[in-house]
Amino acid sequence: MIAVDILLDGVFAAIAAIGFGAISDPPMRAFPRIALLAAVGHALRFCLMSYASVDIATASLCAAVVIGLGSLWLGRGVRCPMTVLYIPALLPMIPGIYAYKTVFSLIMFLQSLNVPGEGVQYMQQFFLNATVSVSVIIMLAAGATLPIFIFSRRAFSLTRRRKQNQ
Amino acid sequence: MKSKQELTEILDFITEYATYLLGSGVHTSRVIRNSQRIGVSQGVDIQLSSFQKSIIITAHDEHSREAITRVVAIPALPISFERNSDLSALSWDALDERLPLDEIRRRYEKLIAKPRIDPIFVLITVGLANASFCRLFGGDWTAMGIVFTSTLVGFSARQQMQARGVNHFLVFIISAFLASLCASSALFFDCTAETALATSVLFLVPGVPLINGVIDIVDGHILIGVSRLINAMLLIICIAIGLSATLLMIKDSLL
Amino acid sequence: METFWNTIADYNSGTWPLQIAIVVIGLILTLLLYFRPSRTVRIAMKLFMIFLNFWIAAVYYLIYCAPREYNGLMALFWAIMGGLWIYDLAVKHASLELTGKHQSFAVVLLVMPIVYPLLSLALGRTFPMMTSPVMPCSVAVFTIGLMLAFSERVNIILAMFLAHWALLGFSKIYFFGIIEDYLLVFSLVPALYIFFREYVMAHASGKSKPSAAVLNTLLILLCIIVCIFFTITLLHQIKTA
Repeated sequence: MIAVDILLDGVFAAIAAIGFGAISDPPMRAFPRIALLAAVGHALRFCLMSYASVDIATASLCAAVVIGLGSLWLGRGVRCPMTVLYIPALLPMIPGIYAYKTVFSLIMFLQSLNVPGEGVQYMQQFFLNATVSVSVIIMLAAGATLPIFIFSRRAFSLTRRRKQNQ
Repeated sequence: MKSKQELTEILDFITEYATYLLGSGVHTSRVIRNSQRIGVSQGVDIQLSSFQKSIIITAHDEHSREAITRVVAIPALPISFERNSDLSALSWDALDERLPLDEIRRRYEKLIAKPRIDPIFVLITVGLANASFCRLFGGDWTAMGIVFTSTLVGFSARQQMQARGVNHFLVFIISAFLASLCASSALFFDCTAETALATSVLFLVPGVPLINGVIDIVDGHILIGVSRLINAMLLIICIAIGLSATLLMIKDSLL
Repeated sequence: METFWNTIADYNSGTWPLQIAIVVIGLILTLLLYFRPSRTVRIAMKLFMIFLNFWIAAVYYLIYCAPREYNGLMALFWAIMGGLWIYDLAVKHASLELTGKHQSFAVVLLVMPIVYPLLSLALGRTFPMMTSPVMPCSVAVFTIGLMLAFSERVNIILAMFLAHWALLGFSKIYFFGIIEDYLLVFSLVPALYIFFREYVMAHASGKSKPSAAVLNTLLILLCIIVCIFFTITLLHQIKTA
């Protein structure tokens, strides 16, 4: 059952990555690798969060680093820069529910200004959700970007044609 | 030794190349590296600094000590990863194969004339993507279906408005409003309505400027990185405005 | 469920003379579009569609459906569709010229508003507690028929709105057992498939990314998913019946 859950999570993340990637017009040859990266990354985060009880920001960081390294490894074969592979793969990990709750609690706070107790409660919720969404997004972006700077020589020459005579 | 004429031609091409890349959503350091690579292949030193709307670029010939500088506006182009990959590969080809300038230009024209991804294909895949996104957040099948069609409404509205050149903040507000309004019909049914509402607007999240901004900042191009992030922030605020218009109408049934 | 049919009964008994007038005008305009098309007729048809959408929004939802929950949302939904028709009129988007394709299917869709009440009668409902030709679902099917028969360039946002509406109808079958809405879903899904297919065919000759074959596969995949949903709903209906 656990295996099915993880697999399903990966499959849905892959579909999401393909769709959100399509908005940014990637080369057709990149789609299978984008899907693979997204599936691995999201499934990893899912495992970390539900079975190892890691918090969402740390789990996102781990998944983002894996996606970043994966895009470094897979980018060579399709001659794509890392960002082309990892930006779509990161999108399914956007903390949508937290972002939504941030907006919702802000609205409710503004609606209940005259009710002192309630207002504070919504403000607290607002900060809680906003903090989680912002930190997860920063972790995602930073984590996936890390490999670019560690392996900069390789990262910069992903689109180079392999020399025939070497 | 380059004559002034030759140097101008090289600079003109690299300017066009660099602004095209920046317009298509490529992060700054990659554009600089690619442009310099083409410069090296032509025996010219290129330096450029980029802002949100324009670039300053200088071509310098070390032998003749001739230098030309231009300030050029960055065109507003749709984001394209395919252009990013192809044009980056072109810069390597230019260096590795020692291509002459007119050959590089010929290949460049051919690459940017390639067809962009089909809008209907994007529409359908984005719908499916948002529906599976809803599933990732724990939505049930009814919610997924509603998110699917809501996304179709919101995204088609976005495509049509963008094609007509409507101001992009307005585009984001209206699309977010339409998508969340349609998703709010999930409230009629016994399903995870809140998840449907939350997911319905996520197809608008400006992922590329967000991540490019972070890359630029970490890279040391802090100014442009921050302006990219502010730009992304504004778009996210627009999504929130569109979503709140719906939430204000239905907030009582969500409590 | 109770309120649902009560509001419909109120609406029908309150507005039946006007509804007959609307049906007659619609019939005349459609026939004119088929046999005597002219600029005036086309503009009149668009004005009629604007009126029809705002009628559903204001008279049906805001006045008669006030006892239902979320009637304001639905009114807004239909008002936006009316707004899309106003836009259409202003920029002359849809040509409303006979395309000559899918004629028989389009005719089936165009007579659907009349079939709706007949089906209701066949299901043993009686006036005024029955579906009538000027109700959201019948208008939705009529709009699709109009787009299919007369429009080279489909207003895609409108089409997507109708798709969303069809899905809602679909869920209504599942949750409330309103059999009449099968008509809407049965006609809308093939119609949307035809819209998309037409589009793919139009682009098949030129270079496109991805290729037409991939697009077609995606469409077929989508239809299979819809069919699976269909089957589940049908099974659910049979189980509860």
